[in-house]
Amino acid sequence: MSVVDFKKVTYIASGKAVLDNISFTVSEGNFVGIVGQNGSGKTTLIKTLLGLFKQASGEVKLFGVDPVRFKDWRKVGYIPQKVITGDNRFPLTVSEAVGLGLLSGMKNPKTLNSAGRAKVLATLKALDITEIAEKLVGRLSGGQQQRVMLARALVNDPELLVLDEPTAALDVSAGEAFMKLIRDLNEKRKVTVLLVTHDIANIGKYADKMLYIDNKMVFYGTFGDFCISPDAALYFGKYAQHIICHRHDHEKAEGVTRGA
Amino acid sequence: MLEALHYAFIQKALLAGAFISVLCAVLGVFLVLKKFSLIGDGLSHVTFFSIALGLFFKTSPLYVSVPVVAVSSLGILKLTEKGKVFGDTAIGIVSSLGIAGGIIIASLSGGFNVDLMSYLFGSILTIQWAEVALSVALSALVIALVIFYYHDLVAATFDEESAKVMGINTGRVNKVLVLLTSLTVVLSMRIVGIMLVSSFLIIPAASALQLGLSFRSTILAAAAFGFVSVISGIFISYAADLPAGASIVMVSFILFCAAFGLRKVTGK
Repeated sequence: MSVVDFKKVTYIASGKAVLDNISFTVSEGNFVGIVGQNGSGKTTLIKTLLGLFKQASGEVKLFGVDPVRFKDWRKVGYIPQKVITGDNRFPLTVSEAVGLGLLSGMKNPKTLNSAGRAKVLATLKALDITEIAEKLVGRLSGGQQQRVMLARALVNDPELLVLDEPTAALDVSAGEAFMKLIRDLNEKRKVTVLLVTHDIANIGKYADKMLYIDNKMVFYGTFGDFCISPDAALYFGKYAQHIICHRHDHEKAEGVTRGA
Repeated sequence: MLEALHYAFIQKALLAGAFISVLCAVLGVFLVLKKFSLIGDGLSHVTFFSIALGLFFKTSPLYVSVPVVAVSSLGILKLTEKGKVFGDTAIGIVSSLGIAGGIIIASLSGGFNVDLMSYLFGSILTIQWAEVALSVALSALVIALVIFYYHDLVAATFDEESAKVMGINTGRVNKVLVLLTSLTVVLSMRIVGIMLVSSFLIIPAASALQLGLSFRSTILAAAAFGFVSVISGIFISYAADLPAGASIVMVSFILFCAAFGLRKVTGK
């Protein structure tokens, strides 16, 4: 069953086609890296998928349903590009923030019962952030904040995880640790992952498919397909395509060795 | 000082003031965190217009103010969301329109009369039992609605985009928040007056935010700050023969300074 389905989707902002005739399908268990330069429409694409933006034409399906009419939000975990308020006095503790995730799709008045509180604790423990449960989210380091947002996204055991540049504000080691967590979720819990990044060099280490957009779709497929794709060769040039493939093979091998 | 409790006007002031202060403080936490706290100031200026209108037509200002201020609050929200106007700009536009309208109506009715002045600066010590009952009932209604929408309000205040992806209708939540604020502003005008009503919404919330507590505890702390300000302010006003509204705001500010100092000392 397809989790995400885009058919000839066009999104227009200020008279410009930010997404121009984009079509692709993501199947259950896929890990797709959405790659492109700044302004290429990556964030617009996932906001259209999540029903935050409405496309001008084409069809978007999330678990087979138009996102605007989609109700089963417990199936979706989302980490936006900018999650944490700049105010470090924002009075939300880690456990409160994660608990909010559990309220997805509930009817009002929403309450967190003892089973819910236990689930929050279990999620904090799984992500190794139990010791900061009562700290204010705004006062944590960037890496800790991203773990908290991941915990909020995961507390419902989602089937699809959508992440918008989750490591952009992290240093290299925190970014690597975070990406390993996502890869483990995809491999062990079979969570479908859609991850926006501009880091084409490293995404191959984690994702099994790449969607490269530049407002139009440049390439969608596995990294093996990418290396022999004439479209990719035409867009990137043969030399750049070779470098990306070489880097992917090298990084993948390194990742496998480290994981073994 | 305690003999003041024997007077009916003090009893009425304490009862109405206690409910309204808690109400303002609870809503204030959400408004301050959404950086929308000046909406109280803007709506109070619209209240000035609606009171002038009520007095002009010789009807109860409260009956005119509730619908006029509610519609204005939705207007501010619409300007912000659909008109792509910044929140403070939208508040400024509606606020100045309210003042201008109020001045025109006051001028048509032959200038500012005593009634209008009492609304400008508050007159908690002269409120009637019917107004106390209305304040208590509406406060209870607003607090019940805040409890009903509590988690939606918290989620939309923290991260509106993610709240939408949780299936929360953030447009409706924002409407509920501004409508509750408009009701609260109208209710507060008799207590602190139009000129000082935004302090009721902002200062207790700002004081509680200095303490670095969880969301739930921050709301409780803001309610406590608001409650203590009103009760102390009324007693100080009685003892020192000072205006009640201004006394309440001064106590509120002293509590803010104490919370700010505590934060500096504890390094929170």
